[in-house]
Amino acid sequence: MVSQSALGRVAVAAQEDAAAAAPRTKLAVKNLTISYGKALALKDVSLEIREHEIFGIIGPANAGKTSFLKAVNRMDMFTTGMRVAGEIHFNGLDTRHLKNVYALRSRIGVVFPLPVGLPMTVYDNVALSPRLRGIKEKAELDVIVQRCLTRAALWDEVKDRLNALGSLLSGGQQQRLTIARALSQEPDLLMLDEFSIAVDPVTTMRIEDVLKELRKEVTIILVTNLVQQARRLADRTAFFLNSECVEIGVTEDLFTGPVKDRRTRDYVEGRFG
Amino acid sequence: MTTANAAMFQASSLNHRNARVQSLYRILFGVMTLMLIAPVMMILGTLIYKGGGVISWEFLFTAPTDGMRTGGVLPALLGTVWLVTVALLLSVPIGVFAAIYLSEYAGDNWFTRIINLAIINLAGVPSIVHALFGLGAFVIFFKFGTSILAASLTLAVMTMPVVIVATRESLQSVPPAFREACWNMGATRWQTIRKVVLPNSITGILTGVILEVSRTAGETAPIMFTGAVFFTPFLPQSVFDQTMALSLHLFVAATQVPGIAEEVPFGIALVLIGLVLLMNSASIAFRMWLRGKKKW
Repeated sequence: MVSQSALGRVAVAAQEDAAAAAPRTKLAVKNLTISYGKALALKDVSLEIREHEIFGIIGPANAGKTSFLKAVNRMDMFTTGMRVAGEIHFNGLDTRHLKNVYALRSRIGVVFPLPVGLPMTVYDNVALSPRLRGIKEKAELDVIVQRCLTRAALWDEVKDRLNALGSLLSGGQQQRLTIARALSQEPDLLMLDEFSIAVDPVTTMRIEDVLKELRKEVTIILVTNLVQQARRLADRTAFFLNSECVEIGVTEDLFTGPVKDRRTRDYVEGRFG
Repeated sequence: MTTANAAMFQASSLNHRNARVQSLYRILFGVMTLMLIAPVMMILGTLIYKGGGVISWEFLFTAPTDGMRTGGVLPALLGTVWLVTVALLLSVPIGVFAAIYLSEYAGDNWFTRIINLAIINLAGVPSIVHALFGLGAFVIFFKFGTSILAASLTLAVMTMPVVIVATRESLQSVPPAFREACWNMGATRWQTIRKVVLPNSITGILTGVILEVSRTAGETAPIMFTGAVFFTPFLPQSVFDQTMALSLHLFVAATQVPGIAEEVPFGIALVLIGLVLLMNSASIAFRMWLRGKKKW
């Protein structure tokens, strides 16, 4: 009896080890199709994003990259005419039929192409999400604000003017403020949509370093139209083109390894797009 | 090289023409702006010149006597304050909430388009029609009688479009990106409105309220049949009382009272304008206080 239960424990432990070794799926997308009226934005996309990976999505404009992010965050609710079909599972839960979409969105941080510093103080920008979660204690908020700003590599620049208006910071600072705000959600998943479009190269590099640090804690989807950025950061990358997912693979394979579709290599080498 | 550079900055005939046209338009816009000030100055000047003499504490704080030929304007002054206050209490919440619904919640469909059309039409209805509507609806049908309540309701219905349109405009001047950023972090529509949209549109909403105060205080026709009376020595005690009002009192004093001193109607007009300016400056001060708090 005793030996049997001991054996059972070992078996369970072994299973747990195996589970820890194999990367868990954070986001599973099956047959995702998005349309706006008659215009198709994304056609029959299936992919899986693993926990703690940086998943790149590259592709030219109008490939359906942003629509993909919107669908993940259930923002179709706020977008008139946007229709989404297919399945999206987040942490194993079907999000398409979720009632409490607010809980879903609060677990997912989003960073937009153009920085959105909300017209409130730097402090309030970062404290907004914790406050929405019901945190009122000033000391607790202080800790969160400092932690998030530090992780977004912005703390040193704004620590003396936390009461300045967030929308008055420079573009690069605002983008890092947006990232700090996304981090204040304590997200499970961070989605960045062409974050470097309005940011200078130095700030871009700083943010990229931040992302490399963050991958230890969160899963990141990085939508970018800079293929080299995807190459620098992403573990695996999907190539979207004309509403289709042409290729998914280990990022380096897209550049040097075998590709399924010629267009992938053509795109990453800059022959079109 | 130097000559070439000098030639580069030599004004061409096209430059000259552009400069001439530009200064012409500048003068045109400036003159038009001055023309805006002129009537205001002339009206205020005439009123102060002709009516300033009768203004005194006694004029402000006593009731009219001797068939309104002498005495003051207190019942009318208080009556107008009552009417404006009650009308604001009724129309501002309804107008602002309706505008928030239309701008933040309702989509763009046939139903909201009908509502928007109704608002525009309501704004275009002449005030005498509103007066007859108020008489039929509030005085007779709802049996409020001729009272402050009926008159204020009529004024509220009449000025609601101003509040709705001003509120909607200022809500829509808040960039959609702010809302999206908020929604994306899991905020509900109301949380987004409360935390981001309203704080950034409140000054515009107050501008709408200021416009409404002016219009409400000055209107005569809508209150003539619904709550304002020719003469009463009594001060209003509740919203169910009839009352005098400055606008109607001015009309009466100017046209219906034989043998009245010429400066009295001017004095009444001056009090009316002063009251409106006072109420407006209160909301302007409030608006500035809000801005100061936001460190803008």
